[in-house]
Amino acid sequence: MKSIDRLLVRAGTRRAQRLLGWTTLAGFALTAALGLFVVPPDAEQGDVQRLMYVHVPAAWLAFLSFGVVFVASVAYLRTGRIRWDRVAVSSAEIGVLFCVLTLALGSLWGRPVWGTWWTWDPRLTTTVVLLLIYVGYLSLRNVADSPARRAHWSAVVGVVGFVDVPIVHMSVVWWRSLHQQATVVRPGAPTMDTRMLLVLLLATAVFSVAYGYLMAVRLRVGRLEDHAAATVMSQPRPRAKAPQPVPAGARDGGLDHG
Amino acid sequence: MADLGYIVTGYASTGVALLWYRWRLARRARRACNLIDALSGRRARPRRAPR
Repeated sequence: MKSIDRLLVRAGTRRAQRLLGWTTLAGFALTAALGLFVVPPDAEQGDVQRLMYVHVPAAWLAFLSFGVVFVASVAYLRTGRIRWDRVAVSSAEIGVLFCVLTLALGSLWGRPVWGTWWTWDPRLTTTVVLLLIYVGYLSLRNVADSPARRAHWSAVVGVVGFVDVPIVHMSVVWWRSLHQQATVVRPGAPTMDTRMLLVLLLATAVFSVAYGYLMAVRLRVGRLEDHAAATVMSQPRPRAKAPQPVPAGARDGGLDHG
Repeated sequence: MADLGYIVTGYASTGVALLWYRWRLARRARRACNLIDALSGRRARPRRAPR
């Protein structure tokens, strides 16, 4: 836990953030160039298969983000340190972004290949459920009335909600699905052309660096927002005015309205 | 070539989503800084000058 703490502090420095940002940008440019112009198209699907180099890493990043939410939530429930809550909510936000992106990119890929933008396939349905769980996680934080209660409730949802991640991954194995089977994370060797696999792994690494960058920035924002909230709470509240003494005549019905 | 629209939309939407989130974080950070400055009585930090 202490080494993770140290890593978070290091990643939070401006210099580290700038380095991560530029690495992410260069990585995206390289991945796009390789994915669009260098790697050959798929024999069956043609060029549209090139969407794989953004769709699969986006899905991986959503899983990674929700995995971090799970670990940070467990850490919060064990230690009660608010820093873990901050890590969890930052990761959940990024996870939701990439989950939406996964669904959108999958829909774009599905239209020319499956002939439809959307179908209630097990993989797609479980992914929507995953998205709703973490949208609920973020919404729940606006309901709780104290920071400690908010962190506690969120941590419980962060732990329980993670159950859906392996279900999403295994959905293509457990149920009959239109979505293709796993080609990389599966028992045995990946069933993919080596060049395609290398670019896919590079894209996944680049997206992971992007996650590190966004997490570093989001954690800084979280610290600033917490500081701002603490500053607001520490402001002296205006005193309630003491009741003015009422003249005896007025109290005894001296105000004649009639 | 018929698939070009899907590919361009996919790659562009990925870039736009990341840039939008980064911009949103920058805006939230600026707002929090301004609030802290205003409440603690400091002058608001000047924005970084364009190069």
